[in-house]
Amino acid sequence: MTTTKTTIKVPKPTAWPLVAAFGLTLTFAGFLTSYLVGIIGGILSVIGFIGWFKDRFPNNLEITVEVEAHHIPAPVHSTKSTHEEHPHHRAILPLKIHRTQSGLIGGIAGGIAMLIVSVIGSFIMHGSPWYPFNVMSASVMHSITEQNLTNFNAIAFVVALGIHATLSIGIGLVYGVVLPLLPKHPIILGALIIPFIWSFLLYATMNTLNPVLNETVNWSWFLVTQFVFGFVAGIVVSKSEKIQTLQFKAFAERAGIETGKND
Amino acid sequence: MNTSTSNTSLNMLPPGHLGMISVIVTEVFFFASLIVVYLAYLGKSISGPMPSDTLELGLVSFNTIALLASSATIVLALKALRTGNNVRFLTWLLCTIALGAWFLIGTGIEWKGLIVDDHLRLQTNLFGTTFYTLVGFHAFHVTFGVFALFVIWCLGLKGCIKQKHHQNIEYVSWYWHFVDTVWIAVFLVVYVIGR
Amino acid sequence: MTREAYNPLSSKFHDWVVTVDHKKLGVMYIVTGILYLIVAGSEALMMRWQLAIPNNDILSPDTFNAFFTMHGTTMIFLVGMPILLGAANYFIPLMIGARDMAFPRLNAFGFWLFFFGALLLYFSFLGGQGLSGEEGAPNVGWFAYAPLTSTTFSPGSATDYWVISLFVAGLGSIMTAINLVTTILTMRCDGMTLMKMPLFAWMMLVDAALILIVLPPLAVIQIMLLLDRQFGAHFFDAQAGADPLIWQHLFWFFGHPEVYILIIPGFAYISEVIPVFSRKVLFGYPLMVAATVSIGFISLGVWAHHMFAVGLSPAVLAYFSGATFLVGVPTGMKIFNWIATMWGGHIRFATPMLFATGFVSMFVLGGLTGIMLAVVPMDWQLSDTYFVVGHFHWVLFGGLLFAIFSGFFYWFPKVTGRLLNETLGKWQFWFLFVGFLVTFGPMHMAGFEGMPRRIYTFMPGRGLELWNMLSSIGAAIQVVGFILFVINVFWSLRKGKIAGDDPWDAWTLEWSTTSPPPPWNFAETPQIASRRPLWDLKHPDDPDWKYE
Ligand code: HEM
Ligand SMILES: [Cu+2]
Repeated sequence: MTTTKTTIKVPKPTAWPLVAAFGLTLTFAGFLTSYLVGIIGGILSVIGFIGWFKDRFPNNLEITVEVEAHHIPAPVHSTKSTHEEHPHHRAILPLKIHRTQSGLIGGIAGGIAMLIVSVIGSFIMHGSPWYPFNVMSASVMHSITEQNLTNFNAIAFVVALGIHATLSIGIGLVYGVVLPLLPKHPIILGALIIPFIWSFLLYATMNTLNPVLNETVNWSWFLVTQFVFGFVAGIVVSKSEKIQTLQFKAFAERAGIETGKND
Repeated sequence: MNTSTSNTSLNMLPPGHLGMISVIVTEVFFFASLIVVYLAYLGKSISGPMPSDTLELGLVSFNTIALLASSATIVLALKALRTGNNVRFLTWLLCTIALGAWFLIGTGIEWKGLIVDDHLRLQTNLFGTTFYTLVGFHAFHVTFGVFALFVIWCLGLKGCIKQKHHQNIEYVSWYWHFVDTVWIAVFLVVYVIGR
Repeated sequence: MTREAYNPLSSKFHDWVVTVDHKKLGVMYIVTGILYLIVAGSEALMMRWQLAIPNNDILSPDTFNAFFTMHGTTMIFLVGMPILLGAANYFIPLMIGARDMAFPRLNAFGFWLFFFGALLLYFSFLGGQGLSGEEGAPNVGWFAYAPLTSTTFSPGSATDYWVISLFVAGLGSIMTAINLVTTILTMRCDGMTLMKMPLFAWMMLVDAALILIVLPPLAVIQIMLLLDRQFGAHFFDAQAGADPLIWQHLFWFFGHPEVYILIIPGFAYISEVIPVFSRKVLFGYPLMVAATVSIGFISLGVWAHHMFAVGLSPAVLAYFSGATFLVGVPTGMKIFNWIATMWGGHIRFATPMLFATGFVSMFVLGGLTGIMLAVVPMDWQLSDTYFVVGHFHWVLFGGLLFAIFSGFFYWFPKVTGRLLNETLGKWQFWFLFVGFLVTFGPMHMAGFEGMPRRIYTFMPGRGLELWNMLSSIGAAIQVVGFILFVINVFWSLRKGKIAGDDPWDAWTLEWSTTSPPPPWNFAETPQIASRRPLWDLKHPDDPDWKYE
């Protein structure tokens, strides 16, 4: 602790800004009460501003205060910090994710598994493999009606397959990034939690969005197929190798403009 | 306290600059709002008198020239102050004040004509409402500026204004230029577009 | 300071009244804000009491109107604004290593304008009785739509009180904003380049800039309304050809950025608290700066999402809907950055961090209901229902107020030298959190059921009883939380644990001086080399500046 005494100058405490503010408020309050209040306010604010001006001119009124030197906090070693674990990276997200390919493969695998299960289920419940295809395409095709849901319809088949493939691959890719969020139980996240959330959202909104379509969906069976997707995609993705995110790379490298040093 | 090994000295503007710029930014949005309302209500008056019947370019052009000229004189005044030529400083400052006062008096004459001859008041119609508000707030700013310049001039006469004050006077001049610029906008909106 | 202790009370009072010290002014701002928080909270409580059951008659319709107007106006202008300006006043100079604000006297002027403006607003309860003997306080809603505010529909001077008091207080906010911009841009200590400022300073810079831009339009329409009411002008007089929608456009040009002016300081507190309590560097500092600046810009161009129901053209609707969605992008970036900061950190769930995490989670939900309202057809259904009330309380209570409490618990030891009680703090958090959910969650449902906002009572048998009852019960739960807070403050001021300079092991400059800081802030003006100067000081072997 040092005991050097230094002095600094600070502005002298003053009531003039207060007087000016009070005066100004009264001036405006004159509109509300009586012109007398306004006049008093006007006078007060003029006095306030003059006083304030005199604080600044010709000289800036200041007072000198003595500064007691303050001991600077001793260099302590602080409580636990993540610096020890990642000494070279200060602002990091300590997280590894799966490769893009794993998401892709997981999505495809989950999609195929779901397809098989749905078709089998359709055979058992409706005596025809085409039911799920028709229901799915009905969300965009108006020619599908409740009567022809079990018939084969080539366009519907292609459309449904397209939608199914897109969704499966899309969700698979998301799984590649999202599953590491629950590092110890990625399968629970992928097979149960996430399918449940989207099934629930769909279930809750379908009745409003498309009540007719809603009638044709067997929701508990729907949930089963979603779990099948989630389970297969979840296993495929979470069993694959995890890699560092690009957060330690320079921007040019991330954007693929430059290739960095190999590490 | 010093936690650095290398010392990066920063080059920052003086506080007055930023303070004055902030004031002007606020004022810009103040006048912008008034002008937007003026434009939104152009030609919306249900009853006369209309701008085309009442506004004339003659007098107001003189006023405009006076105000624009005052922006030049205040620059000259500042230049004189910086070189320490007090007499010139005060003379040019007085010119600026006179030009500002001319503008105000001119506006007064114009308003008197509008009120007495054309029977256009704040309450008459939308045109009156928006016109007096917009031009009035500008004139109020000019009045404030003239008053500030007058105070400086009086202090200058007493010999209180020194070379070292040039920075502060420059801030006042920024305000003055700003008020001028606003007038150009108001002039264009009210007398050119709005007529 | 030891000298002060012997001074009689009156001279202490004198010290505060004539002060130009940013810390004293900051404290006065915050204390005033908290007092008005209690006042406006009581008004809300009365309204919830009235609305607990159908056909209730605790409050008369007129009083109810005055109460929701005063509640909203007070919360925004006399609670949110002073607390955020006060906190900025207190901490900006400390964080950037300055001895005071750039213009100390202007600072005092700004505070007193706010103070007297606020008094004037509340004086309306006594003085607002116009010639017609109408109810005293303003009763036209916090956004005071024309033509309801014309003398025909609002005789008496209550509305003039609303105009004038907010005009005066707004003038004060502008003064302080000028001061903040200037201080942040010109008073930083050696080494503190713009990109080495604490995020708090960055966010308050954007905030102050927004104040400078949007308060003048508010002042302009207030002046116009005053001219209409007092001098017979016709700005909002449809019979003279005027368009009352002009009021709405200009009001929301102010009003929407205003809600961002309120929430950005919340972001600021959270951005200081989360890294310290996660023991990690803030993730994505440059991105945070960029996001804040772009939020500032975007928020200037979305105002008409408050006006979807007034009959705008399809193109205008599409633009404002799209622009509003756009706000979600930078806001989302911030949310992810806060989460990434917590991710893998050694999180300490002290009270500031509890409130901070409460903020992050609730703010996300509030933002989502906002996005729902930005969908035009959805808004047509929900505008002016309790759903909107639910939305903005989610962001202002679950967002701003939680952030304020987070900051309050975090910085209280710096300001007073004593820590707040942690146990009480945690109880307070849980009461507030549960009370908040129970109060404002059901409002969304009531809104879906079609309950309009601003009605003093409702009929039984329309599916509204349950939701309203729940909201009122929630309000009662919150009261416990607020009482715990007040007790905590008074108890801790006397008996709280002595804090020391740096109780949280934090990294920004305010923690390098004593608690409370001396009038001169720093014995020597600091010199810094990284965004976390105290880290460098504590870890000379492994300083931060090597990595920035
Ligand atoms: C992504 C972010 C947000 C979006 C998309 C959004 C959208 C909206 C929309 C469309 C409305 C108008 C509803 C109506 O009246 O029909 C609204 C109202 C409102 N919002 Fe937000 N909002 C967002 C965030 C916020 C934040 C952060 C705040 C405050 C901190 C806020 C405060 C308010 C308030 C106070 C109102 C109601 C104003 C009134 O009518 O009294 N909002 N919001
Ligand atoms: Cu908005």
